[in-house]
Amino acid sequence: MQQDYKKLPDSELEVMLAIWHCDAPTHIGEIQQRLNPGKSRPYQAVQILLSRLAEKGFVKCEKLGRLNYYTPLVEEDKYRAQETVSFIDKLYGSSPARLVAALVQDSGLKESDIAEIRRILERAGE
Amino acid sequence: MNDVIKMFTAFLELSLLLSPILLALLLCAPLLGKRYAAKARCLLWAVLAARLLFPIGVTGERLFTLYLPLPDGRQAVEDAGLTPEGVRIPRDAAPESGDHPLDLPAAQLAVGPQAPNLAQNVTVVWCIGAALFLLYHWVCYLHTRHKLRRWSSPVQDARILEAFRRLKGQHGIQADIALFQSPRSQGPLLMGFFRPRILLPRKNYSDAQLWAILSHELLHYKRGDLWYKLLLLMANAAHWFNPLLYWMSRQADYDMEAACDSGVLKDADAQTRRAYGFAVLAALEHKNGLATALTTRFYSGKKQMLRRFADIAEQPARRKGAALMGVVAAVSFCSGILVGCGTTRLAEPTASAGDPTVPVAAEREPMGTVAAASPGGEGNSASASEKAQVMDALEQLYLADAAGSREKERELQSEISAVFDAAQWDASPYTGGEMIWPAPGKYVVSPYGWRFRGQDFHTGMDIAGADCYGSAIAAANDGVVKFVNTEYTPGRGYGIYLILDHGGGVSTLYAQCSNVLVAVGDSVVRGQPIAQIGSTGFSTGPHLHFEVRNDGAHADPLPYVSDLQQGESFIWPTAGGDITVGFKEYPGHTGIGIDRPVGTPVYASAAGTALEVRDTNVGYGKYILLDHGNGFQTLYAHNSALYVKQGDVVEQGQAIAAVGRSGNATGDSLHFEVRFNGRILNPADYVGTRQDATA
Repeated sequence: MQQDYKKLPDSELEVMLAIWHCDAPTHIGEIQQRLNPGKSRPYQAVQILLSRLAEKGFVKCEKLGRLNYYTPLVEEDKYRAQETVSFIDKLYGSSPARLVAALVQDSGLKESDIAEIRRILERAGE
Repeated sequence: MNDVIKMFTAFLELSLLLSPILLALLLCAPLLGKRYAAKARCLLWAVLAARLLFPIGVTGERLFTLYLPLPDGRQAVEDAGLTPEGVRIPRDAAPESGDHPLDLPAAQLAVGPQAPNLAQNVTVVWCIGAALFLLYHWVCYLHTRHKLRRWSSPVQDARILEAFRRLKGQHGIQADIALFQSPRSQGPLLMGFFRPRILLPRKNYSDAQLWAILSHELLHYKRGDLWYKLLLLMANAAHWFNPLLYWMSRQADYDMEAACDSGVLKDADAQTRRAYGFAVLAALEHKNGLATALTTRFYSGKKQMLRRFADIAEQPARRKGAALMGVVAAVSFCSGILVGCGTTRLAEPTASAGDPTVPVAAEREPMGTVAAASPGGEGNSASASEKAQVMDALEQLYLADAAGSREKERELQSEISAVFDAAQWDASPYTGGEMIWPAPGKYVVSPYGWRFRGQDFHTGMDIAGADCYGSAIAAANDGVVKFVNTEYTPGRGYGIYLILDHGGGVSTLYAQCSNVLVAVGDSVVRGQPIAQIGSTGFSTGPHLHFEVRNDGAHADPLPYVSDLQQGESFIWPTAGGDITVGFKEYPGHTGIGIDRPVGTPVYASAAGTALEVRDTNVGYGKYILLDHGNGFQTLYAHNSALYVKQGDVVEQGQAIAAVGRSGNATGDSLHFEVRFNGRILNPADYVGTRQDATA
């Protein structure tokens, strides 16, 4: 089933990521705990974001007792794969690594190269 | 405009001046790679980049004091930047191999009365080029940052956070580095100049992978590698017209990674190297899987990548001294040439043109300063990493080489069980009562029981403290010296140790000592010095390994010894009130809640240092974590105001915050926790249940 999801704004994606990382169903307190500690998001703001996500069909909301519980309706991997690769992504590709310190650089290695590296490492252990 | 032209000519001059050296160094890079440690090479690139970026001593005016052969053979000397005539750069001047060594096409700056526009135009092109270069990289950076941030969420996995905290401590990093999980990141990476964060692309890592990745990125942070990258980028921007700078940037990047690898693997054995190599490979494979989906970029870094792994797998014998020599030699080599170059270049025209105003010595000074500064930099970074604690080192050993360590554990077990099997135990009941703390003033660094996430069962507890080597070990109770061992294989077994028999089948074992002060058969009294703390046998640093055995079987020593923390006393952490929500009253309540009105002072329960002071809106809200330096930590959460900063030293009873309801508090209340070596304890055991009941 191929579905087209709307690209989520940053704030909604942040909440969505928190929901994906919790065990479903989850409630707002738990979601709030998992949000980026650098930004302040009061309870009401998170509630608004959650209701928007529910409107867009990203989460299902059920009332159990006093609390609303949320279940994701869209899988993280599916959404990520689907999120449009922007023009700028295509233009820059993986080149912008010049100001970040990455563990591995883009090296365009092939399967055979990986196998060679494996051999180097395995030989060393003997 | 004249100033800009002057600046441009200064950079152009530098580019030309340094290009032959740069070319030579880059061509020799593979050779350099073999002979000198990556760290030394990094330093060399940094020095070169700094030199290229700050044209100190190169005024730019001097470029035009060069003897420049004009097409008609006339020679002219002119100070173009300062004269109204300006300079002219012939569009396609043929390279004239005149008598001057610096006669390159671009250097064919001739002087003529009709030239100012051309000089201006070239300078404008240079400015635009540099601006575009910076803009491109800036946009790239912002775009990546946004893309990564958008998809990142704080890491919640306690195992990862604990490993991160431990490694941070081990590297002596105090700074607040955030740890995020970001599936859009193509590999683990460190970013952020002022608010550093480490991004992990995946959720599931093995312990060995975590160790490798986090150590690598933390080392990047510690060395300020992002700033190093920025320096190279700026140099590249200023010299965007020089292809050698692009080459140098790539080489410098590679060397930076290699330096980081070798820093993490310093003193590592073959097993650790292999584990590290596989972790890097896993990251590479993960990235490749993602990269093909996103980009079709072609990049030929294969050779370098293979060499990196070869280096990881087998560290060539590069001594630190050799590295230092390498830096000194390389820097003096390069500055020597520079000075030499400058001198001949300047001497010639000065002599011929009879212009004595150009000081020959001016060129020497900045290079001299740089050369003198570099060895000092090397020394500083070496001394910083000596805070590694006993347990971190041991845990690393375990994680890196679990099989080997378990083998050593088995040796320990068989060594000690042989001794206990052979001994005859006093059959009378144990009447000794509570034992005393065997290492006064020292505290537990590794408790009894399962540790290293289930990798190892610790049969005793390790006790250590600052400068504990050689400190006296006290007999925990009256008894008889049953066994003394003074022979051991370094790196194996219990090392130098002794066993005391306290009657009733209860015995105590004191291991990894440096010296034993008593002999078999001696009677000892409670508190008598019997040995000195050391690091013999299977040990990664000075500590006392203390065991209590009951009929030869190990037992948790804590219930036997009285004074767990040697006189540490805690006070009620606020003014008045009592426990409103008890310890573990509901699942996940890891402390006690004390309801007090907003603004009531919060007191430091014991003297210590503010380890963490955070102002958040979630969870603990505004909170303070104090470290009491003896394995104990206390936490004060949900405050309305914080009176101390991270790193502040506080006295017992000092007001450090005010009660509030920040974070996920449900009312105005202080949330107070006591932790000991990472274990969460019931605070009521330490501060009582109300102010006047303080223990």
